[in-house]
Order: sequence, then C-alpha cells, then structure tokens
Amino acid sequence: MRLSFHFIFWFISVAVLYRIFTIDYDNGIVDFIYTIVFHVPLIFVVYLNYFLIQKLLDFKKYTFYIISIIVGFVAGVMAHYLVFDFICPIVLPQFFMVSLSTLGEVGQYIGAYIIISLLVRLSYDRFLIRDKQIALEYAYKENQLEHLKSQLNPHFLFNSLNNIYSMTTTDVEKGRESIIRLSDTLRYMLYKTDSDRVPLIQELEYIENYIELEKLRLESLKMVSVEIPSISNQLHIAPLILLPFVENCFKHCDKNNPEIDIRIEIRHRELYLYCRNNKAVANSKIDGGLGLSNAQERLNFLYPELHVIQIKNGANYYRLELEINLNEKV
Amino acid sequence: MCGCIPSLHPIFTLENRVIDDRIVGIWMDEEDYNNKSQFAKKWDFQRFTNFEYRYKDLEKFKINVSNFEIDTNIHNKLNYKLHSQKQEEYYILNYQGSNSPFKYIPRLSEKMIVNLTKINGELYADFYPWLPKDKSPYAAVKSTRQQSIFSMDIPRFQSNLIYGHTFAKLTFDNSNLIIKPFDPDQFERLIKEQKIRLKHEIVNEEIVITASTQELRSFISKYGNREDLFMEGDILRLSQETE
Repeated sequence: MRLSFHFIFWFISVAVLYRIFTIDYDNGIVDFIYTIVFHVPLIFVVYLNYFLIQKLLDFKKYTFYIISIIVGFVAGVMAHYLVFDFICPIVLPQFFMVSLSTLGEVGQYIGAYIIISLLVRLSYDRFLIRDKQIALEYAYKENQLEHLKSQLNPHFLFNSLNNIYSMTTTDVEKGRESIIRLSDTLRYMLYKTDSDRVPLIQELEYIENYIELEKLRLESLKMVSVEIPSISNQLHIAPLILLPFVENCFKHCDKNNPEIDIRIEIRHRELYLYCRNNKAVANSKIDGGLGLSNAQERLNFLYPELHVIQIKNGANYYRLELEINLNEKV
Repeated sequence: MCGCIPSLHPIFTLENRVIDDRIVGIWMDEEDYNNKSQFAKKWDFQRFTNFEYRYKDLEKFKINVSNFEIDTNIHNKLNYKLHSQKQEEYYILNYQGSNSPFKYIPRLSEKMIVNLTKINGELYADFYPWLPKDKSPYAAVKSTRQQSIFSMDIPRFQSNLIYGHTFAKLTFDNSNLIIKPFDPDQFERLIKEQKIRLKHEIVNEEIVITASTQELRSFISKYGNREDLFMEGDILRLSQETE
C-alpha cells in the first residue's frame, strides 16, 4: 500500500482516539502524548496483521492465520502494558500517565484494530484486483483483437483459401476438411471466447485447427510435431490462454526451414504445454513480444499460484514449458 | 489524590480494604513526644465496626449501629423480619490540634473515617470526614462543620455538602508511624503544566480529583514509589497513654 495511505490512516486514528480520550479529560498536551503512546501497540498489531495476511491469508492458510493472529492479539495486549508500565517511565519520565483501560478495554481496542486493518487490507485488495482485472480484461481484449486481426488479415485468409483451393484439385476430401477447419476456427474465435472458461476439449480442437491451417499457410513447413491428448469433457480452461504460445512458434520460426514441436499433455488434471521452435539468425533476439507478455499477465491473474512457466530463449531456438493446474474452483 | 486536594472517589473498594491494627492508638509528633509537650497534637486511631441491619418488607429501612452488635432479641421484638446484615471494619481518627494556652480558644478537633488499603504492597490510608450513616441532622452538621450546633432544626441545605477523600502513604518504622500525604503543590504544578493525566475538575480555582477508584489505584500503583510526589510527612510516636 502507498505510504500516503498509511499516513492518512494513522492520522485519522490519532484524531479519533484523541477525541475519545479527551471526552472526560482536559489535561492538554499529556492527553495527546497519551494518545500517541496508546498507538504504539496498535501500530504493532496492525503491521503484524498486515504481515500475517501477506504470508498466510493470501495463501489461504486460514488455520495458521487464525492461530497467529490470536498470538498477535495477546502480544498486542502485553505490548500495551509493556509500553505504559515500563517504557513510558523511562522514555517520558516527565509525564505522569497510566493506562486507564481495563484488560477487557485494551483487548477491545487491539481486537478492533486487527479487524479494521483486515477489512482495510481486504478492501484495498478488492480495489487492486478490480483495477488489475480491468487492466487484464483490456489486455485480453487487445490480445484477442490482435489475434483476430492476424487471423482475419487478408493475407492469412488469402493464403489459407488459396491453399485450400489448390488442395481441392488434388485432394478434394482434405480441401473440404480444411474449409471446415477454417470455419470452425473463425466460429470459435467469434462466438466461444466470451465466457470465462471453455471446455478444454474445445480449446484444444481450436488449437489443432489453427495448427493445421498454419501448416497449409507455411508451404515450406517441413516438420511440425503436434501431440494433443484425448481428454474428458470435464476439464475447463480460460479461452485463448494457450494460443499465444502456439502462435508464437509459427510467428517466429525460421520460415525457410521451420522446425516446430508442440506437445500438450494432461497429467492428473494438470495441463502441460511444450512449445519449441527454431529461429532464423535474424530473429535470434526475439523474445516473444507484446502478445506473450499479455498472455503471461493473463496467466498470473487467472491462474495465480496455479501455473509454472519456463522459457528458454536460445540462440537458434525458443522453448517454452507451461504447466497449469486445472483443478481450480471456477 | 493529595494531602489537600480532595478526591470524589476513594482509593479502596470493599474487596481491597485491609485491617492493620498497628495503627490503633494515640500517636504524637516525635518532637512533642520527646519534649513531653502539653500542647502536643494527637492522632487517635481507633478500630471501628459498623453493623448494618436490613429488614424484610421494609426496603428503605436500615439500622446502623456502631461498635456493638444489636441483641438478636431486639430483632425479634420488631415486627419486621431481619433480611440481611452487614459488618464493616475500619478506623476512626480523632485528630486533636495543638492545645491552646488560651482557654477561650477551643482546641482543634477533627474526626475522620480512615480506611486502609494496600497497593503494590504499600499501605495507604484514605481519609474521609466522619459522617454517621443515619445522617441525623445534628450529626451531619457537627461532622461537616466541625463545630457544635445545638440545634434540632433539620438542615435545609445538607445536600449542598460534598465530602472528599484525601490519601496518604503509611509506613511503620520501628516504633514510628510515618504518614506521608501526596504533595498538593507538586500535583497542582503538574496539572497546570499539563504533565499529569488524571481526571479532575477545577471548581472556583480549586482542583477536585474526579478520577475513579480504579484510575486512582492504577496511578498510585505506578507512581507510588516516586518520592517527589509525597510530602515529607508526619513522623509519629505511640503515646504513653496508649502504651
């Protein structure tokens, strides 16, 4: 959180507690000192809570969080008495003040600040997530648009249609099949990708269609190895999450002598994607571009802590390994 | 809180009130004791027992009897059945000022209720003006004004009087009793300099401590060992009258 936010929070806190502590008292500056001293254990529990939220609650370790915060609560109450009874007489010997709260009241203050800090943090996260979600939705749309453009660009369509036309003179059946693939690809992109999750089987079919069409488009493509497993209908995945990586292989491979290896495996509800393509010497510094960074951002957002990505950008090859745990609660 | 700054609340509750009979007796200033002065001031502490009886079907009626218990036959003779009885132990101080050499100047005489309590192992006394619980008009006027008014008129303005507590630390040192009240000047200075956080009011330029018993005890518990908060105090010797 921003420093200014912390400053505003504590400023309001001091103002409110000072008002409460001076309802029955009129001791001037010592009331203000008392309010500040009263805040020391509160600051301690709030930042302890903040730390525990980051380390435990964010990782859904609820039991550990509850146990830790109970210990933190007790430590906060003890810190209150430590500050008033031992530290104050040493640090501020000229001021005479005692903690006027009973143990129950101290507990109420400490507890209230733990709850307030938790709520503030959760609200802040909610705003943060919403902002991130908007940004990612934008990135996703941008990605989708880019993809749509690349797919629908006249060059792609012209090449695909031309290739299909040539094929119909030699292999009519394969030509028909390719038209269906092109039609399926366009339909999937236009109508199926609006939902949060799609059946994995549909996404893989779409990738398969895409690869087949790319194979037609790149005449000189010599070797494309693709393995896509047969899977059940129960698994779901975010639409178009894999495509940028597959697309990347075709976009950046050595067009004169393309070598592409794409493998998709499902292991215990975990999807494993392996993509490898060779690179032309001129493209040796290419690292994936905007499309890939958007795709990684989407992965971070949609599959936080549920995916692992490893990229090896070699001198003459590019390799990507991605594992996604599909066992999420949709 | 202080010797001369009154507090609305005491420093003790019924749970932490203590009995320490070492205080019982007539005590004199050490100097007067040594000089065997006839003008000596006298601190006469006596143990006091207050019995309180409440009767059934007579909610507001109670009898306070001091230092002796009512014969149970008396209860039986009353038409009302005894509901509960309470017994309180504390001390009464009869303080007598210096004896005047002039006969027409009466000797100062004050009567206080003294309750003892321990805070952090130290003994403290809570002084409160003597006011018999039956609040008879004569007793009330006498105890508050400290003068004899032989009138049976019911005081019309008795409710205007508010009684305050003052506190002192008590130490027994060999045969001496040292009474150290809180230093009123020091407290006044700290309050004016805004260095002490204690609930109080300033009424007609006089400070009245309004802190609760719990707050007073917490304060004494923390600062009871600060010698600068106490006056030098009175060093008293047990008079031979007692011995």
